[in-house]
Amino acid sequence: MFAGREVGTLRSMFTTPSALVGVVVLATVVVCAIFADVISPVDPAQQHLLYRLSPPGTVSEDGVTFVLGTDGLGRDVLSGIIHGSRVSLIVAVTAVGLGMLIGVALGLVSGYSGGWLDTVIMRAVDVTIVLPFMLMALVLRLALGPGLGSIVIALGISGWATHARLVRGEVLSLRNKEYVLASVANGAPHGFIMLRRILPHVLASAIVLASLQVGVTIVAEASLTFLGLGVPPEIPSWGQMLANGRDYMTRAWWVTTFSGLAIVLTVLALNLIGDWLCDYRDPRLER
Amino acid sequence: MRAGLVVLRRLGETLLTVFLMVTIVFFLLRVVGDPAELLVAPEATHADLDKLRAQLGLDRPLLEQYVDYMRSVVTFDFGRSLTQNRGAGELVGEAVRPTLELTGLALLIGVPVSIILGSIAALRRGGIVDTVTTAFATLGRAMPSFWLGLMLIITVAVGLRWLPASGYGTFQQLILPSVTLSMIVIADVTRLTRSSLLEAYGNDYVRTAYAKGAGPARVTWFHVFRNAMVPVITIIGLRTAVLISGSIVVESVFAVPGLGWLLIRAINRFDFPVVQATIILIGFLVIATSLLVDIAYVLIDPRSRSVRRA
Repeated sequence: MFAGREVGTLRSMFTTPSALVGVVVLATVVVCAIFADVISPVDPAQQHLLYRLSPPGTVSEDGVTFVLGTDGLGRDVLSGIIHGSRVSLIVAVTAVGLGMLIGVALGLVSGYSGGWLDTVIMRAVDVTIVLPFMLMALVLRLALGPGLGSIVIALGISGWATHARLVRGEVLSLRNKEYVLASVANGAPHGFIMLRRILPHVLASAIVLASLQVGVTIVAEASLTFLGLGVPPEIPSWGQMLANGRDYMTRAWWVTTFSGLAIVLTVLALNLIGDWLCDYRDPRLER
Repeated sequence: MRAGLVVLRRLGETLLTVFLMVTIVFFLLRVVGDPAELLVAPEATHADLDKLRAQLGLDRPLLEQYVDYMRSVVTFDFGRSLTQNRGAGELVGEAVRPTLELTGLALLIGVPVSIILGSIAALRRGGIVDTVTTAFATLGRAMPSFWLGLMLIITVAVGLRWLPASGYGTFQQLILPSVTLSMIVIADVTRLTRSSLLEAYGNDYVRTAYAKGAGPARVTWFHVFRNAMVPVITIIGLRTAVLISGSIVVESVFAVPGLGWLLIRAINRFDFPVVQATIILIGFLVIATSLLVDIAYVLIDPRSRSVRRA
């Protein structure tokens, strides 16, 4: 269905300004996350107690510039944001990957096998989808207990149903294509047909959906962390910075403002890329 | 007659969904998680845990617990709060009103704003309003609502001193949280109104209407707008469900004593019966909203009466 269009992908990206902006911003965030130790001006955990709540641009006596100011314990906000990008990206990407894995697998089985299995899986999809993402993630996180692993699983499982529904729909239309029927006639096993004949064709849409989910997941993770139910406080994260900054928000606007801006820019970049992928690869997904 | 049947059928489906939702919440919190672990302080011993389990009836057979739990949910008996000497159902009942006021006001702000902005953007495609609106909607989609709330507190409440920063009781105190929450609606609905109107203009019936001598105003309002609003209503319904869950965070930011605020406070105080009751009620509100939207759908669009939704 998409064959032959891949060639133009890169060119299309460079002719869509919004997509290009998204790619540049996202690349910057990814570079920050990978090289956080090299890039960040100071150790994000180091407390400059003499310079608590210093406004952006303050220069300390020993020559350290706090470009985006410091927080209530004198920690550098810019360094915190750079290090925080790690956990935001890793949690969101792993969670979306997990949801995609579960959703694609179940959607594939559901659409291919039909019958009672299809009914059971689709009923589960209906119930999961009716509950908003945030609520589902919150309940799962409560059940799984605190910790980085449980927040990833909670966010991941909350996102499986959309994938399952999308993939099932595609499988239903692919199942009766001639090349699939030919495979069946040749006596190919079901697993082979599902994985080698059908899966490659549904993967493109699943990836587009996943790209749109990453942004939503970053926001959900930050929200849960902000509420004290997400990433553990000892790991530097944007949600945690926002929660801390809230306590002295009236005296030091920069802590909440800049850590929130980091989330907005990252999610904006992801959405711009996702929208472009959506328009370019699969107009049906657009809503 | 037919519409009645469809509504009845959806009602049955909704009851089933509520039943499944309550079951899932039960099994997630009782089987995957351990309520006793949620309840005790981290330094508690195993003996403390066992005592608490016996006290809460968590040591009984699972099926027996499940039947008991279902029976109490049906009678709206959610047990007693562990931190306040009151019924959990009573506490939850009090928290419903602020949440409904908040989401209601957010819809009252969000829906007209997004439909007007989206329509102008579509009618003046490529113009300044279109560009600004699209940029605004794109930005709105990327913004975590709690951050927007904090920014509004810093600027409008603390900086300009126009409105109170938090609390509940007066109308002024509802404005900032509702505006924050309405962004969830505006970001999506504006975009959809715009694309839906543009799509509707391309339909054959538009040409037919013009051919029959209808003027541009008549075509826009009587033909295009009505058809374009069908998907918009669906999205408004879906967003309303998200609004209810979005209020969990926004209520915490603005200290509005609604369901979300109650839920987070109960979690922090290890008040398990209240946590459970709040989650079930939020889930119920969300499911009820989608039922209302479906019924509205049946009444507005005759086509949905015969064709089952995909």
